[in-house]
Amino acid sequence: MTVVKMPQLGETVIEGTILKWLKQEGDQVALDEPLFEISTDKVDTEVPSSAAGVLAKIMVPEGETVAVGTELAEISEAGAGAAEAPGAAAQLASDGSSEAETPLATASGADAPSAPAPPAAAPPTAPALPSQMAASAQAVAAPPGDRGPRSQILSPLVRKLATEHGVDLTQVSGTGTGGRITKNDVLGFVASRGAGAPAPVGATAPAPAAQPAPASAPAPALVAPIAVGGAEEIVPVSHIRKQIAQHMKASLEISARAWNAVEVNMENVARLRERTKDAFKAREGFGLTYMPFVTRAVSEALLAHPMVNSELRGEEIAVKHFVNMGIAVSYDEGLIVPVLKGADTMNLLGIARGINDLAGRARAKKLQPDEVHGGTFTITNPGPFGSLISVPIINQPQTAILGFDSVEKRPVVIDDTIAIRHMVYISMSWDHRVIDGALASQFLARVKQNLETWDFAEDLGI
Amino acid sequence: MARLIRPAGLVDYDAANAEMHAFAERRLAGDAEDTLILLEHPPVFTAGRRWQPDHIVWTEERIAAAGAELRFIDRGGSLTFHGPGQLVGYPVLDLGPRPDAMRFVRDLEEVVIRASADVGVELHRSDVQTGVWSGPSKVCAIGVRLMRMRVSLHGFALNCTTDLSWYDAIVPCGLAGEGVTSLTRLAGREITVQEVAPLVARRFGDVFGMRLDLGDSTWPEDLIETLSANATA
Repeated sequence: MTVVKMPQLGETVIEGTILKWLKQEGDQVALDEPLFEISTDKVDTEVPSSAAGVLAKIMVPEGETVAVGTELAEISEAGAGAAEAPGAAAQLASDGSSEAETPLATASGADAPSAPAPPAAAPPTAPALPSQMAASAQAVAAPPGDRGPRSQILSPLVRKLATEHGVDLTQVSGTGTGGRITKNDVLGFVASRGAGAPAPVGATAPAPAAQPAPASAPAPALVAPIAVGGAEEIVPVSHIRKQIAQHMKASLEISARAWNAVEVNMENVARLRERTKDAFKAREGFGLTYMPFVTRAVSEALLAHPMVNSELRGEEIAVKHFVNMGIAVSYDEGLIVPVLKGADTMNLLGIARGINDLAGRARAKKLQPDEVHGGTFTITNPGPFGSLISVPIINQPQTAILGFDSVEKRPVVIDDTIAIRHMVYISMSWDHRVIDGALASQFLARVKQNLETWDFAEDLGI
Repeated sequence: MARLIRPAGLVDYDAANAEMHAFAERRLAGDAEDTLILLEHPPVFTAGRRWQPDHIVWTEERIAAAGAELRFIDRGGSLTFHGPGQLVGYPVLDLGPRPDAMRFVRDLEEVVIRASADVGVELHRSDVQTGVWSGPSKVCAIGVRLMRMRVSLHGFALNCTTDLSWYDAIVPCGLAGEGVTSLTRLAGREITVQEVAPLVARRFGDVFGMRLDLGDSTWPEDLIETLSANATA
């Protein structure tokens, strides 16, 4: 069962009016099919369905204005039709015994059994049942790859712990950032539950045929994750860590990596940034970093030297005359490379907004799947941590990756005198199967020239 | 490269509306680029989803007799007027999976404020209403709809040399007691659509961080043809 909520159409929008339901209760709904229309001030929009199935219930009628986040409707998965749920509930209720626990538990499979009621608890009453079913079905609903809110806020470790200890995570209150459930929350819950609690990991409850396979992370064949001895801690390799490992190793194995670097005088950019940073922050709500300048300069250089912006495919090279810029973003679980699509069509301001949006949502784990694919080139920026120069690994199947390190004041020779300037090393790892050193050098020279000579001020409108 | 489409003449409302929707479908499917359509319509009153009967002052017969049309459409807001001397902008943009719709509206206002400043007219926002204003009078109406919560439809209507007596027929945007004015009236000199359109296009590019391909008329040909075929010079 997927609950449909009033979406937020911007930070300042707090409520919306249901203009029209485009589907009626009982109608089939496909993923992304328009489900209803809302109106907020002067902006109306169709809202696509976030799930496929049957529109089981409409909770807010047309014409009503409700707060963002209000539950509007329920969509049940196709097959498990809405009509079946009340019947099943009634049947369970008529059993009237604590045996009702068993079918309920099977509904959620071995993944996340509901926290069993204390033995002395009254048998479930009829009104309680549908909501319990809804809750447990919801827990099952998210398949492993699903990006629903639940999977976004649960780390693999927490999931695994919950599975192993038979913890219903809806019963656990999170103390992490934004109410996130942490490892300690789960362990604390297990401890507080006491020794009497069952740990039904291998519960052999017969699974009803109609239910989809439980959504648990594939049954882990690994050893128990927590084994602290002395100063050594054993942590499981996270899903994202594994992906990074495979991707990086594969890149090194396949590409003939070469590397070179240029030193760039960032004085003009640094001054512009210094001059406009307060006004920019006040107007845009975020700080202006060096990255948009570099991205803008690199995008132009890629259009000028498209072989650097290419992809080797067997006997052919796909040369891209557009720029989808991968921006490496580090976050608490690792590294992700969201893609700024059409970077070559944007001016500095558009790039700055795009990067800020992507990086923010990357760190909040709110990127859409299509936002991390389709890059034609990648920039990584270890500079904020003080790195002076770096040798990145190419983000295959791209041909090159550019590293932008710390901008710092250095003494440099200008017109035979020594001056103090903001300088940076910009380096590039590139695939010698596709391009050669001459082109790599020309490309970096172009980036350098762009950054040193362009007047970026006009783009900012400040 | 984002595109600017600027058909000449007065473009029939229904044709432009249908093409805009078809074009947005293509944008949604990734078959088209972000585009700004700038045009003028023959006299037409459009009623958005929030219209109320008392927002139409004239009878439908009187509107027809005056040579205008009345259309009920799917954008936000209530009633407005389009006609000769008014620059209408339809940005068909992919605002991404989590659009900030209010930000989008504010950005459209910013485009109009900057372009108006370019011709020497200082305009401002209202704290409570969308649109761009001079004192208590509205110069530019804004009404937007999103297709699948992602691609923008409809847009803004900036009065340049508009015959303002048309607005007697309606309560603009459902706001009784609010006046309507034009750049020409505010500046005390004639400020035409032809003068303002390139400035709006340029400021649009600035505000939305796009480089607009100014003056493009080769793409998409079918859209240009449809819009031009429905235009009267």
